[in-house]
Amino acid sequence: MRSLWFVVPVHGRLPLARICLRQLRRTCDSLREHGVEASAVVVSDRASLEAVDVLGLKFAWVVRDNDFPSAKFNDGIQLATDPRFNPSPVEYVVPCGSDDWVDYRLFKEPLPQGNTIFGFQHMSFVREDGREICSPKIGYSGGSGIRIIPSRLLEPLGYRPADEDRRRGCDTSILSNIRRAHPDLEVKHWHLHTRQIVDWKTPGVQLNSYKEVTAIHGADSPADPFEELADFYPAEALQEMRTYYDSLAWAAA
Amino acid sequence: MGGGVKYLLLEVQGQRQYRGHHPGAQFVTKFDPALERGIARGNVVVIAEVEPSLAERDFGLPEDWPPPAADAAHTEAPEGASSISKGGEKA
Repeated sequence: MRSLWFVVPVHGRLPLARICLRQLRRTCDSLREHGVEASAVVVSDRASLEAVDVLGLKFAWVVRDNDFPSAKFNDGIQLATDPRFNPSPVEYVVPCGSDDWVDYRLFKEPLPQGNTIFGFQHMSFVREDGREICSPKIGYSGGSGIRIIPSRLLEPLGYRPADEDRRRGCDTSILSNIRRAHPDLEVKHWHLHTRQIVDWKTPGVQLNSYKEVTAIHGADSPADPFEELADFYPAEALQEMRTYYDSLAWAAA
Repeated sequence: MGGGVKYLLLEVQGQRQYRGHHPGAQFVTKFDPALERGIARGNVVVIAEVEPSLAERDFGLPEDWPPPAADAAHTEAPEGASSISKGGEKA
C-alpha cells in the first residue's frame, strides 16, 4: 500500500480549521479504502493543536509557533519523511492549507514517480461570506500550492525543503529548492474537476482575499458553493461549513 | 543538513529591518552571497551555525502509525506505476 501524509500548518481561524481537518480525516479514510495509507501532520502552537483536537483526529502533530510558516511546513514534512523521526516514513507528502478541502481521488494511484511532482492548476475559492464560489485556473507553472511530492526528492534537502525563514510564498520556496536539487524536475498537472480543491475564505487574517485571488486569476462563473460542492464532498462536511458561515453572518449583523 | 547547505542563526543589528526581520530579531536562514554581504556590512551577526531539525520540537505520531508491517513494506513505487490513465484522470 502506498503511503501519503498531508502537511497542515495551522494559525488562527480555528473554527474553520477544525471543520477542514475533520474533512481531511474523511479524505484520509477514503484514501485508505482505495489503497493509500493516508494521514496528516498538523503543525501549530500547543493551544491550537488542542483546540482542533489533533489527537481525536488521529493525526500526527508538531508544536511550533507561527513566526515562520515555512519552518512549520519543514517540521511537518520532516516528521512525515525522515527515518530518524518516523519509523515508517511516508512515500509522499502534500503541503496543504488549514482552510482547504481536497477531493481524495486526486491522491489515489497513479502517484508521481521519478523526478516528477503532481500539481493542480484548477481549484475553487469560496468568498468570505460563503455565498459565492469561483474556479479560476492558476496559471503558474507550479499550479496551486498543493502538490504531491515524492519523499525521495526531499532527502538531499534534509527533508526540510522550504527556506526556514519565510512568512509568505512557502509553496514556491519548496518547489524552487526541490528544483535546485533536481534540475530535471517535472511538474505534471492533474485535472479531475474544477472543485477538486476548495479554499475557504473568511473575514480576517489570511494571506490572499477572494477579491485579490479573482483579480489575479480571474473568475469563471460564480455560483453557490453549497450547491456546487454537493456532488463532490460529504453532506455532513457541507452542513458544518454552512453553519459556520451562518454564525459569521449572525455575529456580523 | 543535506546538499552541503550551511544554515546560520543570525541576529538583526541596528535600527532597520533585514529581509523582513525586525531589529534585534533572531532567525535561521541558509548562507548565500547576499547574506555574506549583510554580515560584512554589519546588518546581521552570526550567532551560531545550526542544523534546522525537528529534534528541538515536541511532536507525536498518529496513534495508528506505523501501519501494519505488511502494508508498510514499500519504500519505492513499483516499476511502471507512473502510467497515467486516459484523459488524464485517475481511475
